[in-house]
Amino acid sequence: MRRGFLSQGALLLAAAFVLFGCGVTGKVSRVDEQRQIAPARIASGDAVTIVGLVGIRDETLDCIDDELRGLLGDSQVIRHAEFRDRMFPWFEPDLAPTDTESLGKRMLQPLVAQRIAELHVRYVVTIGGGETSVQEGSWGGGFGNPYAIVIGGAYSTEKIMLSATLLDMRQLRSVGRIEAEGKGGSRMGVIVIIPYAYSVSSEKAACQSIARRIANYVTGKPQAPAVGRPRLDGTQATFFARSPSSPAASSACLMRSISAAGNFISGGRTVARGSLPSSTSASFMRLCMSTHGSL
Amino acid sequence: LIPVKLGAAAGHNLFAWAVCAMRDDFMTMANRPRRAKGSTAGLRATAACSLAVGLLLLGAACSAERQAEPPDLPAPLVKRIPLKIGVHYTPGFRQARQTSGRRPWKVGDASVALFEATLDNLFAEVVHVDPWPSGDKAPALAAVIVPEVLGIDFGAGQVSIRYAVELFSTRGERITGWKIEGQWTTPPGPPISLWAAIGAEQANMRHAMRAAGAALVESFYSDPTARAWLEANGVAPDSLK
Repeated sequence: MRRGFLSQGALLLAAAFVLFGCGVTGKVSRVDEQRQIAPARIASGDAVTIVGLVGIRDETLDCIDDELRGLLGDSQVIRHAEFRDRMFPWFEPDLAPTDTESLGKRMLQPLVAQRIAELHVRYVVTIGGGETSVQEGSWGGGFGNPYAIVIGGAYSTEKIMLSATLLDMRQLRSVGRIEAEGKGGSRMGVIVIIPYAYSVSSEKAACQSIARRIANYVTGKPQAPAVGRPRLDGTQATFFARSPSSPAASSACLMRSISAAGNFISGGRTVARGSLPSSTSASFMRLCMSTHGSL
Repeated sequence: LIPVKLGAAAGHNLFAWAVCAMRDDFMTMANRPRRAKGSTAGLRATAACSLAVGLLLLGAACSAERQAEPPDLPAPLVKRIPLKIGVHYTPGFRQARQTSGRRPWKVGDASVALFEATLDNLFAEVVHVDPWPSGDKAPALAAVIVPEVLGIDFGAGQVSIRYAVELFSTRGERITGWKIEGQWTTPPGPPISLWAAIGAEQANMRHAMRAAGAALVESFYSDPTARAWLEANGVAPDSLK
């Protein structure tokens, strides 16, 4: 009787591990790209909110909400669900503005503009992307160990890319864009009659990364200067990278294209502003393209 | 994908069996402490029973008709359209279901709730036209809206639901009509369990229904046919949003 009880206890423990072992056990993330078109600084009393575009899970948005509230404080972050409900239907995933042009049109609606003012929303961050790539496979056998009772298992590795576009509701323009990639995966199987499963949430990694960047962005904090390989412990920025080997590239990138602010794709009139060095011999287009891709 | 799902389902069944057997074991120990040693017949019966129940539940979850949940639609951020309209839900609309595919979906009740919530918040006055009035008894209405479910499509992580919004006079003559669509796509991710996948389908349906509600509101301001009907009734759509 006792033996049966213990064996069932072990089974219960194993089964519970299968079920509840699927927690977040680590993260691998990086910020691939960040482009700031205009400086951003949130004032006391102003608020920031996020809007998910089509394909973004609620869990991802909740995660970014939580991270942002932790970084900026509850009073400066309006939860995405509340904002969507208050603005229904104009900030639904397939109706929300994503660039300067569509933002301008949306804010021409008096009721929308009035509600934005009532909520003191200074920045709306549209979260897009969400494309995932999944690799799956399986394994089995004893791995050469005759004493190991390995039945087999399965794995999947997931990558997710999120992008955030910051819309300044006061200036009615896009002021920046961030992209973040998260990697994660899950493993499950049976080794020596103990089933196991674990998952590394790629969404969690990407959301933490992008929330930190958004918070730094709207508070005007300096961004991480590193450029190069992604780190395992958090984020990596290539925005305004000041590579010692190419000072002209970094200085030239302080020159921004005004007309590119709308959609980040089109070119246009290029002006120098901000902390532009007194002289630079670099070509704006060539150097920025080579470092960050086209603005 | 299949081995992962099977593994997850097996894990859940194992867990359910272990919980049931464990509970039974506790009860047995508490109630019958003098049970003969080595007697495993009771445990075997419990295990078999638990496994059978688990498999039945799993099978039921995979094959039963599912009911779409009514969408949670807030009041739209628009001024009410100053018209009195009627709405008529046909029996086919009330009982609409999607029958093709692995698991049928019943969407009639949720669709009625969708149109109720949206139209009530959108128009100055909405009356239910059921049964259809005849002759002089017909109330003075700008139109009677008769919605129709055109189709529901399921893809990989995708749900799309399409409606027709048909406008009739109280005499039953068709005035105009347009179509709306609500869809939702969830990017693929690693499936943790079959239960989670079933829950994700319900969530996708809920999102798609909400998107349809948003599309219905927006259609009155963007669809040329709807705008023309409003303007013909003396309403400038752009002045209401």
